[in-house]
Amino acid sequence: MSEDRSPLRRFARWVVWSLWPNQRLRWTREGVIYFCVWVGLLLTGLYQQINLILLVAGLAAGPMVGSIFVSAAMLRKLRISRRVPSYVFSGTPLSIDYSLDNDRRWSAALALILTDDMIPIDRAVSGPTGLTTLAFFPRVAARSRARVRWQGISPRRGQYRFRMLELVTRSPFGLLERRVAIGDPAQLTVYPEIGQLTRRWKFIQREASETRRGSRHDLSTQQQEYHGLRDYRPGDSPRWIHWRTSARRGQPMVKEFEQQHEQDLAILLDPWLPRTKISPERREALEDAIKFVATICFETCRHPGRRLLLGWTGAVPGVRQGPASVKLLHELLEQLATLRPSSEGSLASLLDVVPPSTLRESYLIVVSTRPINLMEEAERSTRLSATALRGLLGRVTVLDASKGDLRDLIKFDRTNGMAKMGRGPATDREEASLALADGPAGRPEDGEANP
Amino acid sequence: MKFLTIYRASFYLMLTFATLVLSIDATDDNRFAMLYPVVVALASVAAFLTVDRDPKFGLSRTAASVLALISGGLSVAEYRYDNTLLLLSAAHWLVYLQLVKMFLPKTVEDDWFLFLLGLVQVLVGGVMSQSDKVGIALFSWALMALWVLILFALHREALRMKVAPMAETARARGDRAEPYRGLIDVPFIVSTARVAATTLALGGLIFLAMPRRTSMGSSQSSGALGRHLTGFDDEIQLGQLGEILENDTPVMSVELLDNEGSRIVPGQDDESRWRGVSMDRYERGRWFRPKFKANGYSLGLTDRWRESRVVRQQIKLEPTDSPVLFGLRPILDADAPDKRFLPELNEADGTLFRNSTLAVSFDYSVDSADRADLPQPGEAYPSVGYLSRLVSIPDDLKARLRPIALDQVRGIDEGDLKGRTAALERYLKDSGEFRYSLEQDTGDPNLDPVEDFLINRKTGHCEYFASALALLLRSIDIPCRIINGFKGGDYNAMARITTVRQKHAHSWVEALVGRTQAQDPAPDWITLDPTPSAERNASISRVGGMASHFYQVTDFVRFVWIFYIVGFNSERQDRFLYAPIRALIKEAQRGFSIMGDSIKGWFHFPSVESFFSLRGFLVSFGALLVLVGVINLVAWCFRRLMGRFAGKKENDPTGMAGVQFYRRLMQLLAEYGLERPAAETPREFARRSAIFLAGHGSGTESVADVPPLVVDAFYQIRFGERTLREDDLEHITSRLDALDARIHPQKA
Amino acid sequence: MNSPLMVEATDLGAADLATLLNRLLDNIGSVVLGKPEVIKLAVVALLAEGHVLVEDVPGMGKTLLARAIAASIDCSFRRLQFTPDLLPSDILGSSVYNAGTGDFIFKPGPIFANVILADEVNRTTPRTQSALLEAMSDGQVSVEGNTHILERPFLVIATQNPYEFEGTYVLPESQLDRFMIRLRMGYPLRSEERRVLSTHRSGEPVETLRPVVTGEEIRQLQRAVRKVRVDDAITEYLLDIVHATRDGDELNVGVSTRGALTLYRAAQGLALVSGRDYIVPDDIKTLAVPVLSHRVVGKSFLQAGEFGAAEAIIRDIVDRLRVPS
Repeated sequence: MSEDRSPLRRFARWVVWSLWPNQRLRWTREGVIYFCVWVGLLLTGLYQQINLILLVAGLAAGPMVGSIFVSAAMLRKLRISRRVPSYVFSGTPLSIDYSLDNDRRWSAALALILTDDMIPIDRAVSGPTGLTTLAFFPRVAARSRARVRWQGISPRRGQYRFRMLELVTRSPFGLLERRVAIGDPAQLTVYPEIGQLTRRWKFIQREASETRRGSRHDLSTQQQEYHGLRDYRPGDSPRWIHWRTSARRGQPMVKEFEQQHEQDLAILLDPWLPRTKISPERREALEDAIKFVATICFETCRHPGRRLLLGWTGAVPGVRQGPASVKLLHELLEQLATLRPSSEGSLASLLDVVPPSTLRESYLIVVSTRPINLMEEAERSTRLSATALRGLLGRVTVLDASKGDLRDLIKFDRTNGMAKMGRGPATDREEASLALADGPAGRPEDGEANP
Repeated sequence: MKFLTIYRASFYLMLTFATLVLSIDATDDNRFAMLYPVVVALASVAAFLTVDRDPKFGLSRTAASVLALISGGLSVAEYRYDNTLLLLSAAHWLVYLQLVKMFLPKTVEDDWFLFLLGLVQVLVGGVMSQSDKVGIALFSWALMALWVLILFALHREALRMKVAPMAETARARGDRAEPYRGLIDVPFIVSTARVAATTLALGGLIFLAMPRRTSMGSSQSSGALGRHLTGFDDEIQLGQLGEILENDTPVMSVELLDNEGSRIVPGQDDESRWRGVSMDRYERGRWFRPKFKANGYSLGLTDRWRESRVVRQQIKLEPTDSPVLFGLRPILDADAPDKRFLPELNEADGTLFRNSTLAVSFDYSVDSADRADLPQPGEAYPSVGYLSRLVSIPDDLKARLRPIALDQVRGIDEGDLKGRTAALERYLKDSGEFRYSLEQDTGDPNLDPVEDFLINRKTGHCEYFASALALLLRSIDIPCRIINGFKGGDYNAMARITTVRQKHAHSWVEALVGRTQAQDPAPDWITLDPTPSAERNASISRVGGMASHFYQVTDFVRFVWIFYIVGFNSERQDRFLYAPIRALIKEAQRGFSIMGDSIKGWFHFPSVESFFSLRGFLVSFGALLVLVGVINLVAWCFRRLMGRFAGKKENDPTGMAGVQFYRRLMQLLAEYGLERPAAETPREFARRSAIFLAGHGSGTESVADVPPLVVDAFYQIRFGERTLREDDLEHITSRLDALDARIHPQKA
Repeated sequence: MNSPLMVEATDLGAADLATLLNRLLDNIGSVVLGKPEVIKLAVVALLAEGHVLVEDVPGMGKTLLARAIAASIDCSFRRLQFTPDLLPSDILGSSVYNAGTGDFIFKPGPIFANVILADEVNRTTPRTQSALLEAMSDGQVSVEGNTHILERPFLVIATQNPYEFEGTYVLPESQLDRFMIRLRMGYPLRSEERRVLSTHRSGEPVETLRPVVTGEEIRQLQRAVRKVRVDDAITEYLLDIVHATRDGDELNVGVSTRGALTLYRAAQGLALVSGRDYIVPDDIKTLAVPVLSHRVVGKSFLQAGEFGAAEAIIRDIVDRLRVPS
């Protein structure tokens, strides 16, 4: 945070922050009605000067005034905290843990509501609406802690910010509501939704690699080294099943291969949107393109080793690359999560920043939201010579999301959501990925793991 | 116990209380009134077992609407049957509605509606009757209502949050789920009691501080008459008073104030005679009273009475059907906050009365001179007709009584009326021939009851004594009248009021012995009381039985209820609330102005030189000291504010006898600003403290080894279950002392 | 306290135990410079009858540590370099036909030693790995139906390089469980490194180490470990930590009961190594990360590979929980 660099400013912020009244009191709907009835009672009593009505009115005023003090007491010596995952995939269940510590000696905390706002940092990416979460703590005994998990569907991709936790009590009569806001900033990155690549995509990919290698059959047995057996996991090709062992073990087993000599992959994404008159379909197409790219990245990074490059157009085109690894995947997904649509960028300028070695050797996937003429783009590019282009053309797949090119290549499990949440926090996909990580080469490559 | 069960049960109990407020005081004229709470209670149990267990047992909304209409019809019919009871039939409709509503499957709105119905019942009950019984029911209702409101709020929150998108509560969607497990525990009860106490206290304050008008009290009557007060009718059968002498119910509550408005505490034997009606005509065991006629004489202090001390009586009369008012004779002034019914003085016999017999309690005040022998101002000398009634006695009776009377006044000059009356009074009171008794055996029906008392039975109560004296006086032609009223009362030391009960009823005699002064037309009445007072007092104290032991408490409750709730008016409000506040403010103002003056004096420095003096030093030093104090206070407030949610508090180490030194270390370090977070082990903390102490550069390096030393020893005891050797302990203690000395250098 | 208090009820006297341990620690420390914590943890594993997995890049002194331990104890030491073509029988031993007698005799493999350094254990195939790990956990070896008991003390110090992927077979979580302690050597301080350089001037210093403890004494120490006193509050604290790993949502798989037991035993070991016969909360807190972090599985595969993440989670849990006092 560069803005906090100056100690004076930080101090000023701290002073303002700590002096700012962090508690608010307001009437509830019931309270307003109660108040109206009370006023009626009071006026009747005063007008008629009947002491018993005044007495009832007086006693009825007690709860209103008493609420002010008692609700403050209810909020005393409480601590709340939030635990958010640092990332989540859009459309998958999101669970946020809220915990409340009651440090009081005797009295339990009753019927407390915790509200939390998840605000999109970049509205152009995530849309205007965030997410408001509620957690209800029915009863937290004295000197104990309770945890409530909020579960919902994670919103659209992008980065979200949590700022204030608000603790709300309507104790003791539900007439007044007292809220106290506690600053607890946090951030959550919502990665784009990950789908499942269809057979058709695999077919296209194989075709592409076969054209490159000449027609060779059965890539798996020849190009990959067999080195063992493992349990079947969703997503494995049935062709890899080792039937004899499966029969013996009573569960499907697949052959495992050491993947070797796989061609590097470069994905170029063109998140183009017209400057004005953006139709919902176009937006949808853009999101589809991003989801598609995210899925490819995800699938590629399942098997470490292959080099992966992601480039995107925009006012400033960007490129990120590295050997496929968990760390790279995080970087790419984060990039995709925060990718802004642009009306300016062109593929040509992106081609200029892609390393020449990639253009020379890698298999290219170009995903766009507008029709792309690769020849024209290449001509406009300063880096790409005609010969290089010729070599390139055999190794490139151009997909236009606005024309529905992606529709057959990826499918989404739309039954997720509440149904999935019922089964527990870990989705199938995550279980699958987890299992995969145990596989032969799932270690991350990052250097953060220093002691 | 399930939360919902408790909630429902409390809710129904509250409704029952509400109906009780409505019906508790209607028992006198409506035999069935007491059935309503019972019915509500039974219906509650029924509803509790059916609808609230399973909504399918409930009424449908249509059926409920039809039933509500029918109940409305029922109330209208009731009103038609007896159209004096508008309020009552409306109240009954409320009860019917409530019963219908109980059997509906309930939403939050239904609960609110039921709550409101209960409230309206309480209000109607409060308007209809204002006795202290209503008060007790009302307070029970209020307490219950608070409890229910608390539970209701919890219930609403639970309902509200279940509809929110929360997966965790989805499984708890069933109505029977337990939202607040373990809710009812001692701390909850205690805190609820605290909330209730706060709330009621605040409510009470608000009630007391509400603006009041001067005339207060007489609310709309439901048309019913007040309690009948035997003994104060137009005519009285001899012996009738015996009924009320055995009755314990209060008649009025009296505050006695002197000229300055401070309370007068009556003596042990309170002989105040609360004069009520006078009786003049006697016929065969019956006394008749003169007609009330206002004389238009404005009561008011006259110069003549100014020199004597005044006893002011603030009287709260319970509802009665009699217009008679009571007061101490001689009455100088009488007033009532309700200007429609000002007390009036009957010219002929000096009786106070009012023009109303509404069944509400009546407030009035009477000023009396504290000398009972002074004549009553405003009372005319008896007219000839009245005078003849005052000596009227049947001839045959006169013939038989005259010898007895003459026997007693033998030797006393015929002109000495005072002597003769005194002799006759003594005869009845002190001769020992006559005994006081409330028991009445039927005597000879042919004989006049007074003659029977005088000659045969010789036992009776005050009425007989008084009648006998009156007839004896009349037999020797001394004009006199019987006075019915009250004598004495129960003084309550807590409330400092006197409660006069029916059993305090008394009869005595007033005899006319001429004029006070020749030129003054005022008649000279003397008061004669022939009843042996010791025997009477003993008799009174027997009445009431067990209950009389609690009079101190019940009277106090009644007092609070009567004077500060039902009868709370602007005048009392002023006296109770505003006058003390005003006095306090005045006092404070005076104090501050004195202080301000002297402070101004301190800061007055005529020249710069004079500032450089001892006084200048002291003043500036003092000002700085105050400044430091204020800054500290502000800092403290600020820390508290900041620390409110930091929750730095942590548990003390488990109370072990052997680890005193460890706690001492913690305390010392805490004073030094070092505290152990809960997740830090003691040793980590000790190491951190040691580094801190060593690096602080303020002479604490020498004691930097103390925290690890102490914590190691603590570990040995706490986790190693060892005991320290004496010299080790001494070493630790001495090192801790050293640390103490370092941390508090000023102490050393 | 100034004077360490020692166990009375063992075969050795309290003072003997203390001097023994000090001697052992000093001896190892004279060779493995600047790593007192690592040495302590390794000795804890030795005394608590566990095994150590050292993760670090080559050249950080992993081998040195193992050799120093072995050399300090009067017992046998073997080093196993794991390669992809290593077979289980290369470790366990095999039966050889004896032409003279006409029957098979068992020729024990390198695992029949007291201290074993299994270098780069992730380089070999899972089959070979599991042969080693089974021997580690059972303390015995089964070859062709015959069971051979391994001699005590038996300490395996396995190393692997976590920053290498090509051609490696990462130990699965279930196998990692066999190691009591997982630790990193870490880079030494500059001053320590200078000392290392200077001590190596005249050759490998570990060659000059003399054994200071006998195998029998180690066995006595191991018996003493089991007698270390554990307060109920400490047990609760330990269980708090274990349960927190199960309840939290960062972890898919929490610590098993065996993990809890291992932490318990390791804490007893650490107490003894620290010269106490009772556990203090610090023992648990110190050991939570090295003992537990390889027994948990992160929620998502994106975290699964990152041991750093698991460590951070455990540390976070430990930093949150209330310490008994």
